[in-house]
Amino acid sequence: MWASIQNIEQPATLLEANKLNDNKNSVLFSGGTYLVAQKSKEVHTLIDINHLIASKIAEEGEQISIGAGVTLQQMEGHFDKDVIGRSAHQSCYSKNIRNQRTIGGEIAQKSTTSQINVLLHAINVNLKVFVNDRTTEVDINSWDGEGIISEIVFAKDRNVDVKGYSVIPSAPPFIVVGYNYTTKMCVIGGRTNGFANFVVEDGKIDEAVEEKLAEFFADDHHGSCNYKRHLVKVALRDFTG
Amino acid sequence: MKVTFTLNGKETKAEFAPGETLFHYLRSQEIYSVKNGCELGECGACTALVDNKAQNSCLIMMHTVEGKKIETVENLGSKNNLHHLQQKFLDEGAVQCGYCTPGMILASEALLRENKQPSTEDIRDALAGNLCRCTGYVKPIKAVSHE
Ligand SMILES: Cc1cc2nc3c(=O)[nH]c(=O)nc-3n(C[C@H](O)[C@H](O)[C@H](O)COP(=O)(O)OP(=O)(O)OC[C@H]3O[C@@H](n4cnc5c(N)ncnc54)[C@H](O)[C@@H]3O)c2cc1C
Ligand code: FES
Ligand code: FES
Repeated sequence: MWASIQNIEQPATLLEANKLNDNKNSVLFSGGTYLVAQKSKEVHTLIDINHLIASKIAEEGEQISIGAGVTLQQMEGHFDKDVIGRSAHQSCYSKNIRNQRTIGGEIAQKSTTSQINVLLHAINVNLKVFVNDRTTEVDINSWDGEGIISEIVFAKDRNVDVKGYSVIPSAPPFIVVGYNYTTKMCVIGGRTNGFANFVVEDGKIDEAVEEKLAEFFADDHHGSCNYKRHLVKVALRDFTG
Repeated sequence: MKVTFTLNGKETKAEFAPGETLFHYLRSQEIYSVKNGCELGECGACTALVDNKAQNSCLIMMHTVEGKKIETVENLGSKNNLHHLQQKFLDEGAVQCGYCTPGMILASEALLRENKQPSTEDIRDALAGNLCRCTGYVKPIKAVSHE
């Protein structure tokens, strides 16, 4: 029971949903795996957007589009052994949860321990986001967190990989490294405050990046900052041979 | 609030408070096979089938079940007429206290509905979100493998 909930709104349009989402006691609701587990007492109104966002994956010409309501399990099924399918699978040990958790919620939640989210940042997918009164397209690395994500769009032709390091396979990884072979962009997540990204040529990290990583990682029970920097280098060496 | 859905094969109209989860509703209907392990989505003791897929009922808000097909273990078998998975769990000794068992059986049933011949890896994956504190996983996996 989520005792603080007084209202559930099922708006007819994204515009209406956006208007309803204008105070701290309301929250957009899709898969609900984060929100219902948290049961924040501050939330009094759920704005259900499930009927407003697509839950299909479409491949047309050179482009793939994923509705924000698509679950991680659907992604795993569709992309199967591809890195997208694999990382959707690895983002959550529980199939029960993957059956419910949406990719829109994953991106909106800015989940840094999610391998699929790090991978989407490495691809630098475009998000279709409804802000104010219209849908705009913005790349995931530039998205400011405002609005309602309705779709994720990217080119079929992509050359990316991702790797996670965790204490045991079912635990969320404390470091996730994504790499785009085409743009040479490396994206790092895990038990971190947000994502770090930088360009890495030939698997070599320059001094500026070393400094950035030293600030980015903290010493904790998963290991020292140095150890984590080392893991990033190992991942990059594996990616770039 | 009101919602209409199919519960264990019967068309059901439910009235519920806005913050009610499917888990609470099911228990209130004396469907006691769904168990409260954590109410955080971590343990799978509250597993139900939603349109043939296993999900944790403690994370499902009641308003989202409109038009859906919800099943619990009560729909699979009964005391005198066990479902073949229930029988297999017994035969393999895959049940000790039984708290996790309804969830394990539903997660296994969901897997077998989509894949009649799952590999051990498929079974491990399907059961990974269902925690067991006494039997462990070897025997439940064996019970499903022998299907
Ligand atoms: C057992 C368990 C394990 C978990 N493990 C992990 C883990 O390892 N790593 C991890 O990162 N998370 C984890 N989570 C948290 C949760 O599953 C993720 O945050 C998930 O991405 C939430 O997706 P959802 O569709 O369920 O979103 P919801 O819970 O519905 O929403 C999440 C947030 O996103 C917003 N939102 C949802 N959809 C949209 C949209 N289309 N546009 C804009 N905003 C939107 C909501 O307002 C909310 O703030 C776990 C949760 C559980 C219960
Ligand atoms: S009680 Fe629902 S997952 Fe634990
Ligand atoms: S049999 Fe007791 S928790 Fe699994």
